[in-house]
Amino acid sequence: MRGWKAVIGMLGLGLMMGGGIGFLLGRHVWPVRYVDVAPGDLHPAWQAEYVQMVALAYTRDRDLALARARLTLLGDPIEVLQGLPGHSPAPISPEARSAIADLLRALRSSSTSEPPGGPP
Amino acid sequence: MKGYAGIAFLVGLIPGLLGGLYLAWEIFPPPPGKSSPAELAAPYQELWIVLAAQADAVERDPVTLRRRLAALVLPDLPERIAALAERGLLENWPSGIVQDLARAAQQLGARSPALVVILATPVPTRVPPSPTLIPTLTPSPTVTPTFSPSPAPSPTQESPLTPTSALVETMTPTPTPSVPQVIEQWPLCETSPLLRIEVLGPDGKGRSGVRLWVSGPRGMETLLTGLKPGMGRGYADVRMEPQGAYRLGIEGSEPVLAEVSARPCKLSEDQIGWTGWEIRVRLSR
Repeated sequence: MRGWKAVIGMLGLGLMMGGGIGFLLGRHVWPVRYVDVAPGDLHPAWQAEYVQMVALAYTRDRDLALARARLTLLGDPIEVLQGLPGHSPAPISPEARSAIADLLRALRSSSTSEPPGGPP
Repeated sequence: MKGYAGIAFLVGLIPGLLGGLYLAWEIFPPPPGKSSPAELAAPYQELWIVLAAQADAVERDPVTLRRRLAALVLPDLPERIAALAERGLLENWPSGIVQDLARAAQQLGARSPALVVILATPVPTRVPPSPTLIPTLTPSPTVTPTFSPSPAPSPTQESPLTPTSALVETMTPTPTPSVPQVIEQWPLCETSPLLRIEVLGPDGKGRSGVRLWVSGPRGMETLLTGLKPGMGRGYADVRMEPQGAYRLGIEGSEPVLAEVSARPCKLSEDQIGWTGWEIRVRLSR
């Protein structure tokens, strides 16, 4: 009887150890890789890069609606731009800094000029 | 009994491992938000390329451009950017964006006649209608690739260039100097009709980099001469829809240069074709 108990105990121990090892392997050695993601699923460092590029592209084409739509992929455009310095691990170039300030200004002025309540 | 205990341990270990992997991958996967640009859906990767090229046009920092684009981990990156520039040209994207893409492709080492022509073309002051350079779909991240973006419309300039043609008639209008003018145009009976345009300079030599507009059943299309160097420096063509009526002009000069249509014609005794056209235009300067 004691022998069978030992066998069942070893079976349970194997299950638990296997579960633990499998979980660690699945999390750290072969983690889930997301594919076909949107910019909102990027690492914050890459999101910061994306925001800088959107601002620089706005300097180039002056298309505020397009810049707003591109930033909306990450959330509220104004909040995204305001939060950028905290998220960017790499130093922001002077051109990008000025482009971000320019775009932020344009977004703020366009949002204040819009009538409250939205379209009828 | 010791042997049985060892076997029981192994019997428990294997399903435990599988269960642990299942828990880590399916039940408690790590939250998304740590992806790199390489994992972006294809339309967003194109957006990333466009943005990187536009940003570089302001920053002029090749190291930053390379870092941003290298993050996509695309094996044929320069060629892909060049192809995107050519697609932008055919789909009438703003010239500034097309030129930024062409410049970025060239910086990364891409070489093609189309890039040379795009970069040599002055940016017009009139801004053509802006395309939606932002993908409208928002795919949810998946472990296995299930996302399939809608296919881009195929360029219309890739029709076969060796149709079975039969010369039908020739027409030579009276030339008037000072404005671009059609010096010759003639129809060709062929199975898949093409509108072929050859633009000549005042010296009679083919002129590359001339932007033409063609309005037809598919709407307004922009052509650029010289993208098919084998056909001559001033050559451009566009596929014609059977029964379609087309108007041709040079961008920046208002008057319509020619109006033609693809009508049924007799290709051989038992085969009906459509009239394609060949039009030769001479520039005044």
